[in-house]
Amino acid sequence: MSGLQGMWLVAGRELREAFRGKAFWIVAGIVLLGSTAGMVLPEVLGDDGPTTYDVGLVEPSPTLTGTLQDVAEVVDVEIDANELPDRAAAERAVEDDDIDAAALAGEPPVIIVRSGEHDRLVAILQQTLQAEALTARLGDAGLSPEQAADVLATPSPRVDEVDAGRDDRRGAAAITAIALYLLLFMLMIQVANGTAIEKSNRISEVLLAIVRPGALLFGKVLGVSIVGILTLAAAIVPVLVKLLSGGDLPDGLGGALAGGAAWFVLGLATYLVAAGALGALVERQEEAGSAVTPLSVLLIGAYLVGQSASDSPLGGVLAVLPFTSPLVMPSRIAIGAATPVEIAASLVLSVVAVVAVGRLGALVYRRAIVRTGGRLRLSAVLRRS
Amino acid sequence: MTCHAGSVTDTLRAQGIHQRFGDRLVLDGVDLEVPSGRVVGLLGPNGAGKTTLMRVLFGVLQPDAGTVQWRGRAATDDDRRSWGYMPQERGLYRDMRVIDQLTWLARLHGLDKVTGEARARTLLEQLGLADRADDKILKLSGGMAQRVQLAASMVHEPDLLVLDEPFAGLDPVAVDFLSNVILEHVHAGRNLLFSSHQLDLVEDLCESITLINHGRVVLEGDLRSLKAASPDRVLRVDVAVDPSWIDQAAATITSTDASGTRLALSPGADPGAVLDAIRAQVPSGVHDFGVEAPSLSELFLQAAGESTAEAESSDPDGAAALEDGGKVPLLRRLVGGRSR
Repeated sequence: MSGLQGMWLVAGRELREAFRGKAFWIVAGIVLLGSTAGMVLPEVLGDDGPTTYDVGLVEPSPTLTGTLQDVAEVVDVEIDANELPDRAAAERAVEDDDIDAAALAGEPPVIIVRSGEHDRLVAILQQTLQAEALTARLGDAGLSPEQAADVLATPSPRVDEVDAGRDDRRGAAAITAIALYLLLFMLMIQVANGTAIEKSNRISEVLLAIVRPGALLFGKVLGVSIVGILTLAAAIVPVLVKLLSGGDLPDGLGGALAGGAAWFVLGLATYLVAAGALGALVERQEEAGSAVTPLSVLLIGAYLVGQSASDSPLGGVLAVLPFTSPLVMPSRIAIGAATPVEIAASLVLSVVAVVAVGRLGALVYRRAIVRTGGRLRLSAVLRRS
Repeated sequence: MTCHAGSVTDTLRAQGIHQRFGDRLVLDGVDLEVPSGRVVGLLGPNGAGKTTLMRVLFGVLQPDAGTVQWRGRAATDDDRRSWGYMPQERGLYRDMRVIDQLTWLARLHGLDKVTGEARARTLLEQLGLADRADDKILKLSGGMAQRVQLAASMVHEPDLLVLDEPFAGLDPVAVDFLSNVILEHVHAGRNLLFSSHQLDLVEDLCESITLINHGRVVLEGDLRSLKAASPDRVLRVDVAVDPSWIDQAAATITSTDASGTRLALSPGADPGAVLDAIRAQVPSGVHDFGVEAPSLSELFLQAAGESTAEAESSDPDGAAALEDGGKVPLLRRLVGGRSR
């Protein structure tokens, strides 16, 4: 049996035991629900269509409804206007929430609205009533309705938004980053825990008599990684379903996911191998968390930079360096700040880091896993010839 | 000096094993032979280096010097994968089902899944655990978990079985059960090595022994031959013996009283021949007699004492003197609890 077969058998055990346990299904279920909610809720609650307001009009002039619809169209709002008999009926309808607001033409015109609500509608009604009053006065001054309309048809300024998708892309990057961060963190602790349990229960001694230390460490990392990727797949399924059913993804999510996947795999390999090696230093399972503290700090730091400053010069550096790049580069790609050279350098360095950490991790693991009797210092394990 | 039943072609042999942990020399040029068809005991007090030697045999530790040979050539990873090892501290996944664990280990040893599971079920049947196959290890009692651990080391039918302190913490019934498993294995012509610090417990089981103390072999060989070679054997007869009846080179009288005579046997002397010489002189016959040979513990104490004296005489400053090498601490460690 080759080392590769041993590694697969070790990985297979991790998978079987994960599928047999409840924890995997619970986490995958939560991830699936969360992702489904993320895809479905914007459809249900989203403001993709224009907002519709119910408006009551008391004694409207013949042109009021038309003017109101014109103003509403400019600001992409739909108005459902109904006539009400008098002010009292209007106030009652607003109080009872039957309508959003009421407008009374007259001198002066009045708008009835519940306190603090529908600012946008109030502005629309104000503009409409002012336009109506102005038209009436221009008529009084001798202008025909057509001339009055000409006077009033001054072009209103148009708002052009630059880089309209930027917020969406930042949002997508943030969602991807937090998912990857949480999963990396969870899996890293899982590997360190698993190694510490195997050492403290002396299972490692039985296994090392059968398989090589490298096969044991990499098999565990592979198994835990596959479990993690399957958990992540639970998040991707609703995204794919939405794509296949012709839905649109939030702007930038596709890029963030694709970039995230590549760096996630590389990040998994580096962090989990390092976590396995550090887990072998401790004597008891409870110490596993503290053994991987340096990795946790690195992970949190990279995550924070990835979230808050991935387009800064610091973000540019961390997006290229191993260990930090898995958390920073996907964000940088998602917001369009990464250059092709940076992306290539980041990938190459990540692969080099995976190989280097793999070798060093296997060395530390091999030396530390059989040395019992107290927590070992990494430097002492590395120093031993 | 060692008496070997098997030839080099079916023997495990370790030679000149040195292992150092930091400043501590744990194994100092240890040799070991495990021929097939014999129960070989690796014996010594706690901390003598037994577990370290076993880890070296399995390649879990790389020794600073020395070689491990299997059937006349350097042991390979494949050789080691065909061996079975039960470590001193029980190593099983507590939340894994018994049958899954054994089948998985069998596959790691190179068996396919179907064969591995079949072997596991057969072993569980033999060990009286067939009805617990689907239970998790954590649901088993200590004794049951111990038997699963034994099954784990035997599931692939190893040619060489190595058991580290297998008797530690067992009740008499379990000791008897394990002894039978060990005897069955060697009677099938396979190799077996086990370690123990409880010398009196395993005295009747061992055929060959290697006694180590402070990382050095202090006594090794066929146990019967070692006992026969001891200067501390006594022949006891229920008649008064006259010195002229016996060959003084074979035995000397140490005491005579109303219950009979005690004779010190010379190393290697045949007690049967001495007894025959006495019987020839007593027409009424000898009705009660016996040979009192030193126990394993006594042999060890004697050998360890000599070893200590040697070390001290070769190093008058005491720099290499073995710590607590005296008999009282040794005895305490020999009958004490589980070794670390």
